[in-house]
Amino acid sequence: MQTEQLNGVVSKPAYSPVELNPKSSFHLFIAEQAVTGEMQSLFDGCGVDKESAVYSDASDSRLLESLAAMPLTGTLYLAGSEPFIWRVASHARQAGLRPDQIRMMVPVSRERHLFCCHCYQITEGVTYSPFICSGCGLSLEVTDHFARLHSAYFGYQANAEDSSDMPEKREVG
Amino acid sequence: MSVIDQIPVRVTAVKQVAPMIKEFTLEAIDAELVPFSPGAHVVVTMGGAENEPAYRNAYSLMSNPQDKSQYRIAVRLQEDSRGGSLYMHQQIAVGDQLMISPPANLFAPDWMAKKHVLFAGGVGITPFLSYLPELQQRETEFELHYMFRSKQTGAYSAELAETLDNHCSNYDADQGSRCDIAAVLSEQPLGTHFYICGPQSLIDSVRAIADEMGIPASAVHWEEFAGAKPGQPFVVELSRSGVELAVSSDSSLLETLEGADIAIPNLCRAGVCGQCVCKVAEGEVEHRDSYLSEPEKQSGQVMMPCVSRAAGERLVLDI
Ligand code: FES
Repeated sequence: MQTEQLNGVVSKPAYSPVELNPKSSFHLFIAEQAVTGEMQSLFDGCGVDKESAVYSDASDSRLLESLAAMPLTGTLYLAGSEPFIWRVASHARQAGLRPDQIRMMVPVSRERHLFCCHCYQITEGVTYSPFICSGCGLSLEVTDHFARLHSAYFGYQANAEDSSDMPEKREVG
Repeated sequence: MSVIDQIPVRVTAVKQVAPMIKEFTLEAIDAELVPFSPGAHVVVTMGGAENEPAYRNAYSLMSNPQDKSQYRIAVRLQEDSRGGSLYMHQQIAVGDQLMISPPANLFAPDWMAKKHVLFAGGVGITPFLSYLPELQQRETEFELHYMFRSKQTGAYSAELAETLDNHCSNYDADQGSRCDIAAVLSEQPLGTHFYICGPQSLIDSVRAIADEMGIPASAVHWEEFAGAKPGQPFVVELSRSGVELAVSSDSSLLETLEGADIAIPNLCRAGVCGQCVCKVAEGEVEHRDSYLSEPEKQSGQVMMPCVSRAAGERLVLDI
């Protein structure tokens, strides 16, 4: 089976504990749905020039505005699901932030977004593999290849070579 | 760089552009030159005729990157030169032939930047001259801060001030004019990238101030153009062939190896690119590069022969 090899391509993001950047002149905390305990204690731990906000949509126009208004010497802290934090990070990069200005906390859920290599549809809430693509209905093998551009993991047809040979269901996360 | 990669060029013009700086125009002899990317450099090989040492120095290309008819470089006469810049200044004239490596780039602009801020010190202006055509063509925001001493350097400062208008600020230390680096850094918007080319002291101060202000380290880029410095002579033994070579105080280890026809990959010859790394089997190393990490240096197992030397009288390399 090919899956072993493809899954061996590790581009799954690794997260380490987030620390405040003591040299930053401004700290922006963005959380999805709710501020996490970890974020709250970071927020409490830093000086006056700080702001925190909660969004459900990573592309919310007010969020994009506050990213664009960041100073060159600011740091952005992100909490939420993996797709959310990576989508905000990608907007932040567009706004001019450098990767070392963006600090991501360990995602709050293990649910993945799955990018279908066949129909390009993104399926949400993926916790096991194979998973049915919400776009084309194919059974997709969920890889550990995280496409930063789509904030989603690549999926490809699980039984492409032999339709009777469906790999066993396994959890991902 | 192996001999096969080398491009023979002819010197078609030599111009004194500042008291200590000469500009050389190079044209290809057999084939066309290739376009290059802004910030690229070439390694120039000089001398090397019988009984004469060969010198190889990296010089930034300062001509328009799209111009395939010629390359231009500027060479500052270094007071503590081991010979390379002295050779260029004293021996090289119009009509002479030189060998150059194909262009390599360790100092390209980051085109994701919203704005580019360039700090040039003396002859460090050269890589930025190749940035300018593309910066202007892309209509990207930029500013150039050019520091020099008009009694020694300061080439092109008048032209730059004229053509770039308010994008260029000149600071002539011989006229008492100094750049307030902290003020320049503090005025910049999100998405600004900084580039520094000049003496080590300039690189160090811009980096230190930027770090203190909380500017992300990855937005600060620099190029050191100081090549190998002289040192104590020593003997190098190559463990695989048993060959022994004497490294004189004026030659770098890399040059000595090349002189014995041992090809070692190299791009910068200044201890930054990491290409020339060699394994050390025995002997203490005086590390002078900025490529290896502190633990790697302490391990004593690897070294960068383009700039680093033996700390003692003898070194054994695993090559
Ligand atoms: S040639 Fe670049 S580090 Fe030695």
